[in-house]
Amino acid sequence: MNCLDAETLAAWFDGSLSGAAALEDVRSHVAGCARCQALVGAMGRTRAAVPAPEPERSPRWWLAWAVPAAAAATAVAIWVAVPHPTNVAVSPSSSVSLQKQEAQPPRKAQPPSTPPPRTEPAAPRETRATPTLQDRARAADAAAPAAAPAAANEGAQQAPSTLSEAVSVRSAAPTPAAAEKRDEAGRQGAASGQLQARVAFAANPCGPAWSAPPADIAGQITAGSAPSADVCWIVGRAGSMFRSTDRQTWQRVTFPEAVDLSGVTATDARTATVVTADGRTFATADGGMTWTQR
Amino acid sequence: MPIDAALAERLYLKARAERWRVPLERFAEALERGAERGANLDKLHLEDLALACGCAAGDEAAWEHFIREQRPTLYRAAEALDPGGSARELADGIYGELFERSLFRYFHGRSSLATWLRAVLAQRHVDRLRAGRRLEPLPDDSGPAEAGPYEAGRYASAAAVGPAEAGPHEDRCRKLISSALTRAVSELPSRDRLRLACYYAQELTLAETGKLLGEHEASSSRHLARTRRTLRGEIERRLRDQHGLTAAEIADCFAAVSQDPGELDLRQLLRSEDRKEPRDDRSTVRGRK
Repeated sequence: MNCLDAETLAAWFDGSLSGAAALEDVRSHVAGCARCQALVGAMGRTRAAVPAPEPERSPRWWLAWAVPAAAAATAVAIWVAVPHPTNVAVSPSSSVSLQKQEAQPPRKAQPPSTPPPRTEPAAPRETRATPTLQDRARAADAAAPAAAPAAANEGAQQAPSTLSEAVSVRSAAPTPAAAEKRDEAGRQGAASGQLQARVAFAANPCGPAWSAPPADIAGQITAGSAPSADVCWIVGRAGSMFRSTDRQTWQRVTFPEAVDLSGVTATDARTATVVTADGRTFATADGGMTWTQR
Repeated sequence: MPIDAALAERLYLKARAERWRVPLERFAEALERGAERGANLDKLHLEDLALACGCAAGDEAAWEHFIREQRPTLYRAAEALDPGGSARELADGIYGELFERSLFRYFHGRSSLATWLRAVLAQRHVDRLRAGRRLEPLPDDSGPAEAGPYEAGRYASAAAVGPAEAGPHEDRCRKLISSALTRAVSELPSRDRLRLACYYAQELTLAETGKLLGEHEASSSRHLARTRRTLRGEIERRLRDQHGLTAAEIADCFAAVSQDPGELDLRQLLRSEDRKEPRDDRSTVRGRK
């Protein structure tokens, strides 16, 4: 038998070489042929070039997403529907409004034993050279409750147009009933703001300036990172990963495993660190051509 | 080998060849060429075959798809083969031939297009390395100063031990074990030899080795362990029966060689079976029309 031609070698590696006799011919030839052994070794070295295969989905694959999504929606609905004590409704993430309220004298409607609104100290943030898009999403979440009280006063009085106006309206607190109504509306506004922020993040974590991510990853994005104005990396399920360097087009980046990816932190178009759903960290310094586990 | 028209049409639809505006007749011809090469038509990578037909016919949509989906594979493979960039030149050459449409006619859908591209690249890379080695001058007796990097490494490792440190006993042990191992490897069944070559010499993973051998990776692991035991037993038998060494002397020999294997290299032993003249890359690909 002659040395293997490219297609026979490829079919052997793909497991699609037909015929037991042909397979045995190939194996016995390669066992004694230095060149073909070297070809086998070279094929092995190029294994990183192969994109991770898409995992086969069961007919009810959508249940894996539908169940947690339904549970989350139910939790939000219950949270919105169930009335909460007024002092709990103060937005903990709006430091401006909190400071304003603390400056006010205690409300007469509240019993003396009621503790003042608890201000949770802001956790010290990890200093990062490039804030990830998860940080931006969290910031959007945090900003939503602060803006919500403004919407709460619709109908009762003119909606404030700025944050400072919202703070001043909020600190007036005319009556307990109005305050309760306002807080409930505020919670609704906060919830819808958070949901909107998350929906926008899931649709395109890089922001509106980038074109929509490819259909391959749409709806499965778990994280993104935009280290500069033109570069953005997004990751998702089953090792799916894309990168844009011009805000218009997306290039698929090959990840060596078909594992769900839960986070990405990019430094530039070539350097990024990815966290898998099972907690492992991989890094690339060549735009995703090779990955090293850390 | 004419293909039944109904079968050709069924495969044409399955391949979604109309996406690339491939005429049914052209696709049927590609199927016939695959059948002539012994391909099982039901196992063909039909969509890739249709894409190759579309690219070969110059369909723009097919080309855009190929560039988007396959070209990165080719360049990543080149990077993996040689981060220094020389394989990238080969990849560029292959891409050029693909663009001229001449290379596509050698793809018959027996493998995926991505694996075929890797194989074409691997073939050219290996042949270029081998051609380079044939042109290199043999090292003269002056030692590492005149040697290439690989030979220099070997001289360096030998020098690290030093002939003064490696006494006659160690030298004799190495010679005896080398001779016995060479014979034992050559007497292995070809399947065992291939498994050793894939795993130890070519550094494939157990899963890849198992796939090529048609066995589960756990079976490959067990077979490799068994082959190692076989080799060890065969070497001991030869040292005992042919050279009259006692069990203690044999153990002493193994200990000496494991400390300093010298030029004892399983990769070289596995390649020593090679007696076939490799064909030129281009002729290998184009030889079977």
